[in-house]
Amino acid sequence: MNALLVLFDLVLLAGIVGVAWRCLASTDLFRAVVLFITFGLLLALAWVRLEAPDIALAEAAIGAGITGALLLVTLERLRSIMAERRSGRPHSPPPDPTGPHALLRALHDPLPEHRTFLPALSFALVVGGLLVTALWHQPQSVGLEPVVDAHMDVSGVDHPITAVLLNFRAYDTFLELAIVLIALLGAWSLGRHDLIPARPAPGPILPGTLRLLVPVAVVTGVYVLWAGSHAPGGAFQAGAILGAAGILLVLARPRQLPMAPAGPLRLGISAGVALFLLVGLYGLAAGHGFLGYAEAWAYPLIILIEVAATLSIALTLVALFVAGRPAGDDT
Amino acid sequence: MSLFYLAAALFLLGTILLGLVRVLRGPGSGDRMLAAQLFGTTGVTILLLLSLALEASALVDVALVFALLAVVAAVAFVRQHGLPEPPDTPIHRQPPDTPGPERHHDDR
Amino acid sequence: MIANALTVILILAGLVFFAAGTAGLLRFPDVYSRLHALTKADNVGLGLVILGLMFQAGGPADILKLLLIWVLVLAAGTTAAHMVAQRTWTHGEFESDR
Repeated sequence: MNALLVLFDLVLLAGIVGVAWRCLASTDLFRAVVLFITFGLLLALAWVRLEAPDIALAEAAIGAGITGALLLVTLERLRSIMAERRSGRPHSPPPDPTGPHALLRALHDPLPEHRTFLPALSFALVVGGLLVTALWHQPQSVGLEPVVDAHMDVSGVDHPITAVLLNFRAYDTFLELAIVLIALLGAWSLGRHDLIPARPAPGPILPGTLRLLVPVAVVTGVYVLWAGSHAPGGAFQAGAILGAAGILLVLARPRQLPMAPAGPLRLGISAGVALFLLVGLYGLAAGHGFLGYAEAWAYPLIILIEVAATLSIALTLVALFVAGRPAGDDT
Repeated sequence: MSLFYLAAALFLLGTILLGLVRVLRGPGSGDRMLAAQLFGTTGVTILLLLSLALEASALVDVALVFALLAVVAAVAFVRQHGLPEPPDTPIHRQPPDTPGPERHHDDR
Repeated sequence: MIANALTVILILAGLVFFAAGTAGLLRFPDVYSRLHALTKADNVGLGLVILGLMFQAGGPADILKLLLIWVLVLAAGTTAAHMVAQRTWTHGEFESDR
């Protein structure tokens, strides 16, 4: 069993390194995208082998549902920019050196390999050396597992990861949610952006599949959220699943749909952080410290925060995918 | 039994690595997308086998999420129309064995 | 005991289909033939493995979850095969990626 496990890990490791290498070295952008999707799959298996099923679940939702679609749609946009550049406009002004054209040129006319090999190798060696020296001096420690286990009865949930994320170290999760919100505000501050155009579905199969998949995705998202209290799962994973379902709808919608109204959209996107902050301030006022809960209230408060966070994460992911500010707000 | 599940998972991991040859070689983007789709199914199967081999029932949920979202990349793929095709483009260009000006030659 | 034997037999049969799917993906001459290789692994390979795993399931909820996974992969495989065939048919097999 152990020898076979080691063999499995070695094959998996070789696959991950090989796929990452070919993905970075590929000059064909589509091939690089497919290799990256495969990389995400192998990475999820690696998280499983590292006994981190929570992260494997998140990697499954993000890797299969979101990054692949995001990269493919980016490729679509890049190609239409290229087509514009190539077809006509011979006297157009010189392209912006920081714009997408420069990125395309850099991608399509890479430096010859002999000029990049030595710098790349020395950079990798320096970073690798730093990592090794940093990890070499890790003191022998059993980690925080015994401490967490000893306090599970006051956490309000039965899954240690959720207990850490939403009770013992809730401010980490609070700041992570704030970062997700700030990322969206950053994307919106770049200005308005044309939505990817609606395309009529090629044949009846895609609409049929959507009718099956989207309800199942909603149920699965709620299930993963609920499972977080006693098993791997929780707000980030559930939000990623619901967000992927929304992205699927954006990608496959056969005709233009009205944009979400700006007010409720902003409310939903900020609900997670806002509610988390309110609960935290309440804990401060009630004498449990910032983001502390009374023991009897821990479970309902955690569920409340997780529901709001799931909604916000799902909406934020779809909004980041669509990019650009909501229509009808020109402040 | 768990030894058998692990051996089966290892075998499937091997088929993924073999199938990568199709991703690297192409030649069309459809071939690469198909390979990715097959990897997704194989990955779901590996996760199910590992859930029994490692006695971690949560892996079934990971497999469920992969199965649920397996179609997203393919939908994004069929959307992207790439360059507008010139009107005289035949449906099939020349086969991959005759090197044409449009083909890539970065299969090092 | 019989359940274990059935599991082993069914999983082995499923693995054969996965191997055949990969071989087809590598050996078949064009994208339309390769579509067939893919759908065999999806429908039958995963189906047989899941059927085998059902004998080890802890209860009806686990069995239903396994069934759901199979149905979802079937839907994804069917849709993806259709998408790829559609796109190849309208845009050609060897389009320029640049």
